[in-house]
Amino acid sequence: MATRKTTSRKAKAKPNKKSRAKSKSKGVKVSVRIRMYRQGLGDCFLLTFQQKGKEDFNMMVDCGLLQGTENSTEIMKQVVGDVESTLSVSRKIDGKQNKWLDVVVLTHEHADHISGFGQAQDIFDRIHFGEVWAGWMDDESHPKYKAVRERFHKQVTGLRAALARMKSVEQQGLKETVTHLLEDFFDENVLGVEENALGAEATKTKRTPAWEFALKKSVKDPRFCTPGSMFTLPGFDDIRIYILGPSENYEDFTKVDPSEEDTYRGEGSGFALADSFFAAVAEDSDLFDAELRQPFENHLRIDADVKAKEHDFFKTHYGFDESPPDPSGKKDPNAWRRINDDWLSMAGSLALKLDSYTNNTCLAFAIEFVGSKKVLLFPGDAQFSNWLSWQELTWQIPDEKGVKQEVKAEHLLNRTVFYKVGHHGSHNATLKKHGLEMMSSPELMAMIPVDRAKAESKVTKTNPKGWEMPEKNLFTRLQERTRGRVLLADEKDDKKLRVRCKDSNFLKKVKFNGSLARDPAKPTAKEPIAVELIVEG
Amino acid sequence: MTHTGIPTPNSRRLRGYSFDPSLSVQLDTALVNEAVFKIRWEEPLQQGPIGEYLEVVDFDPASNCFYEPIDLNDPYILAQDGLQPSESNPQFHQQMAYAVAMTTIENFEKALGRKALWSPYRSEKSENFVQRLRIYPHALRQANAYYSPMKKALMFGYFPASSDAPGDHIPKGMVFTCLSHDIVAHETTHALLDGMHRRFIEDSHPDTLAFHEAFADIVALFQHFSFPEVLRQQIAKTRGDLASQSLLGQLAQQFGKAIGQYGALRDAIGEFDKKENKWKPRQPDPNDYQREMEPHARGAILVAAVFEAFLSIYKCRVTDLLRIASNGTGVLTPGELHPDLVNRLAREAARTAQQVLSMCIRGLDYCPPVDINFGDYLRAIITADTDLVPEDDMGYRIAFIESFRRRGIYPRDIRTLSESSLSWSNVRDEEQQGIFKVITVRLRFFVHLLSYLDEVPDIKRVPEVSDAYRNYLKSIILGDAEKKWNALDAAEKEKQWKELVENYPLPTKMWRQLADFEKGHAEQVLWHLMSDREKIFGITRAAQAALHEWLADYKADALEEEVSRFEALTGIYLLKTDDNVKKLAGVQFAKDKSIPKDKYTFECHSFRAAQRVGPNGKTVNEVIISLTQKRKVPLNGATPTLTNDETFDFRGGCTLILDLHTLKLKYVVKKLIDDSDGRLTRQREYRTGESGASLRATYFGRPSQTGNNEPFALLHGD
Repeated sequence: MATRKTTSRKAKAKPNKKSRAKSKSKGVKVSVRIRMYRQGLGDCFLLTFQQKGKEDFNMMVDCGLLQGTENSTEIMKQVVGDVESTLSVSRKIDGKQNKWLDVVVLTHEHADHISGFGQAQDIFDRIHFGEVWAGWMDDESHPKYKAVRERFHKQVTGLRAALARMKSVEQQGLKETVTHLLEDFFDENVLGVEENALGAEATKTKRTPAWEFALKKSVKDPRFCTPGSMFTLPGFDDIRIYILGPSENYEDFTKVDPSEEDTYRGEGSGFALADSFFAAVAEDSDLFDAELRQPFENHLRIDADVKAKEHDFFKTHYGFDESPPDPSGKKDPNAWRRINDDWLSMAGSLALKLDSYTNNTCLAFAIEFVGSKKVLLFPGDAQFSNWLSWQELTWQIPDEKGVKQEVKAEHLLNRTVFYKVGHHGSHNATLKKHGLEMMSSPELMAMIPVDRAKAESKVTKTNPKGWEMPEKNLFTRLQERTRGRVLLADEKDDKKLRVRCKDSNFLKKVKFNGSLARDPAKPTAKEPIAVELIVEG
Repeated sequence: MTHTGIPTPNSRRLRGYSFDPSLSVQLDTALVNEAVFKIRWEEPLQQGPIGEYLEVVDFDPASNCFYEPIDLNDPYILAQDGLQPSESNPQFHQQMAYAVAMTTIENFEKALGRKALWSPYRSEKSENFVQRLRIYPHALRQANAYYSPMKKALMFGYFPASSDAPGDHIPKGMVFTCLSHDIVAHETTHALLDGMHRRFIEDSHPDTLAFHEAFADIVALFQHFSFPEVLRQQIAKTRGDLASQSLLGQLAQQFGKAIGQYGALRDAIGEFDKKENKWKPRQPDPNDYQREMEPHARGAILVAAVFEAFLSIYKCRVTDLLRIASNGTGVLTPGELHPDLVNRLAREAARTAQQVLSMCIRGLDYCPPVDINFGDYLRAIITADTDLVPEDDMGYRIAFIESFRRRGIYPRDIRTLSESSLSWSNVRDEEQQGIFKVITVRLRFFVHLLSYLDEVPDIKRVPEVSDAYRNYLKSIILGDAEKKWNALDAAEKEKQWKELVENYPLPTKMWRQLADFEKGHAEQVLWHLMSDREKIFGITRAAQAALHEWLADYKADALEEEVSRFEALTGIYLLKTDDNVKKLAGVQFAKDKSIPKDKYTFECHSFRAAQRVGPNGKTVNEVIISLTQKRKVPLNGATPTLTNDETFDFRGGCTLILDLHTLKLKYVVKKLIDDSDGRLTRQREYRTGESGASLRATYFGRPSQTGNNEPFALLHGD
């Protein structure tokens, strides 16, 4: 089904052409209602573009909730139900008269962005997706597709093997954290359980079922977006979509940390480094060439399980007492110095990298109103290298007189009036100098899809505070930048907003609506399901 | 083994790489890359090698195997200066790690004039002597190497070289960090520094971890200058201009290239411009110090500052040579340098490097006990050097000040950048107090013990403590004598006893059956069985305990006014007064029942004796003690947020430098615990700030907040 397409593409089916006549759009006021759902730690946004004389144009950006959230299926069903009832247009496709969602954007394959497509499949079956947008990396015909998926599979396989080996008490904190990183964000189906059913080859490129479900629903061919491209919103000549990320440079999205050039860090080693670690943890897997990764010839090795235990030197100076370490150190003077498990801590770095790669594969885009030049920014969970890669992009865009003007990411950031805060407000997903500090519009407002209580509950031994979302300094700066116009998904009314923000015009535009029962056992305990505001185009 | 009539050898010769294996496959450097390390002859030296300071245990957990330990006393190995350098022989790896680590230790001891001790192992109740630092040459399968303060071990990793930018390796060929002189020296230095200043691993200021990194790099860099062949070759190549690109100023080349960087991992004086594909000298920028926050990058500023100071001193020292060699013009004619000139330049470079390294190491004695920053370190270096070499006629100190200034590193609380104001200020006569005189006189006793280690300490002579306390001090020094004695096997008891008192019936009995005088003898036996460093450890700890006792007595019976003068001078608070309570929320009170409840607790953090002779024959005879205190304070200060119940330990303290001749307090280097200089606020900002701005911080917590057990593991890995 999926063929690779970039900017220029022919629309195969364009239903109801009349209602979106281009001539009418000029000069007529357009606005967008941005609704942030309050499901918890996860993203689901519904954008409704409204213009007099036209049908509403609805775009959904992501639909997910962090795995392991209580009652997540019930919650997501209510969310999707609310989306369904909000949609005002219906279409008949293949004989089925269903609600019509013009565009569904899938930013990246993390559960907190896509789980809803699985959890609320029955409701989505009653909604047509006009067109699904995703990043170029999800295009099976893209030359890099296979490499990216196989790498992903290797990382996951290796990490799970490492987790199985972490047994020592000191590593329980690390183990918990790595487990969170894997299982909160990735569907169990991609974590490699069903190898037999698919065969080894297919397993290596397996996608999350929810993701595939959403992609297949696209009535038109899905649009796989490449950075540097620009197109107008179908039916709206004066609304442009700029694709910012993910970069097509493989190195860019594997680069995860701002300061790696001057440290021992670095992903420059390709993946040989990771694979040599995985070869040791996943001895039985044939993915990693275990023997080749051994540092020395076979005859130089003294097997640790049998031969070394009979070797006087190692018995005396390393010791093999398996009983739990005696804190006084008297029983076994070697116990506190043994290093049986220390090497496994690399799993932490590798898990982070996996998470970062995925975040860096985010489809990041900006929506521009041509008339007012206002920009809405949706970076997904893009991390620093994804943000940085935008800086190199330029577009040649004709102005009113038809003269081509150079547009850069910086210009778009300068004109941003709405910012969907990336990665629930963590501090590595909003760039400072090349990000928030460039958003200089006095009208700037922001939404953070976050559940602070949930984030804080992610306590492990190594991280007693849980996840800091939103990060304190970033949150402070956001409030300064936006003059308090920040909406958080975990606030069910505007009490705190009114403390933060004194802009009465803005406060008037904020609405809480719908109803959500988080706990099916308490159907009467209801709160608003979404918060929304209107941005004039 | 006894060898009648033949003196013990001075040194053991061991071959190794002067840099790392990558230089052995480059034509121009292959010949100089093999060096012979001349290290102290250790006896006994067991298989492993296991000596007095180090024990190499070669376990490779990722490969689930061990590698046979090397026996450096094997005649075949002795006869050929150790095994030949080889990447594929794990025994050579053990030899290399041992040789470089020992060289580093010796450099340290030479500069400080005393034996190096590792930081103690803290079990639940006590602090225990750690005789040997353990070295695991193949501990990790990752591009990383670190010092583990928990295990007192150096963990070296190995990893396949980058497949896309293999540098001088075959793609995916193995790189062993334990074969890099620079990495081994670097990690050993972390361990040595931790042995001296154990609070420096606490991440309380952007400079603390950076200081650890920088200092480790400085030691590794200047050790390059101790290889004469390399030095001569590089001087010939750069025509004496060490400020241009040379191997000497670069660190960990193979590692840098293998992880896909183009040049060395770190370069003190320049950097590789990836765009132009060539090396460029780095221009110092006074804003560097303000801007750079990542520990390695920040550390690099300090390294560059010290290296530039070295270069200016070297230039100064060789101008006359260059004039002589150029008929007085100072401009060398093109072409190769005369080999004699190369030799002379090399000698100057080697000597300068040794002196600069010694200055840097000696500075450690004059550092505050906690929360160090680069400015403090500059002041410490200047003070230590002024003390030892009052006349700076070669301009060494000026060179340091100048190059630090060029990078924006200066202490925040001084008025001018002159040598005299940078030096810690001398304690004036009117500030001297009786207590310091008393302490110094009493501490002389312990300094004496340290000087004559073969005598069993006569603890009865410890001044001014009770008999019960004397017994306590004795148990610190000697350990549990009864247990130790009973643990000796009969043959060992007999042998030692015989050596001690000839023709005496051999008591191989249990401790309880010994008569008192026999116990006295037995103690001597036990004392002789201890290594010198264990004796030093015990004496040092006893000195700390005695000092604590004296100061606790002092606060109990001195006049309140006198005590508050002591408090003002040292920044250590002893008495709970209304005034102090306001300033010092969170400092603990003494729990000991024998001490009244209105006393603050403090720690005698360290005790060191420094006896040095300067180039002009000036002797420095000092005792250096440091006292510390901590406060439990809320992390978020006065502005409560969602998680405002979090607290952290805010530490303060002082290093006191006492002159054993004049009995005066010479310098006080302090970090105020009362926050009168705003340090608490800055530390709060740092601990809650963007220090760990990475995804790791979101999921794993920030290193500075989580009491991380392995501070260097993350710093180097990830």
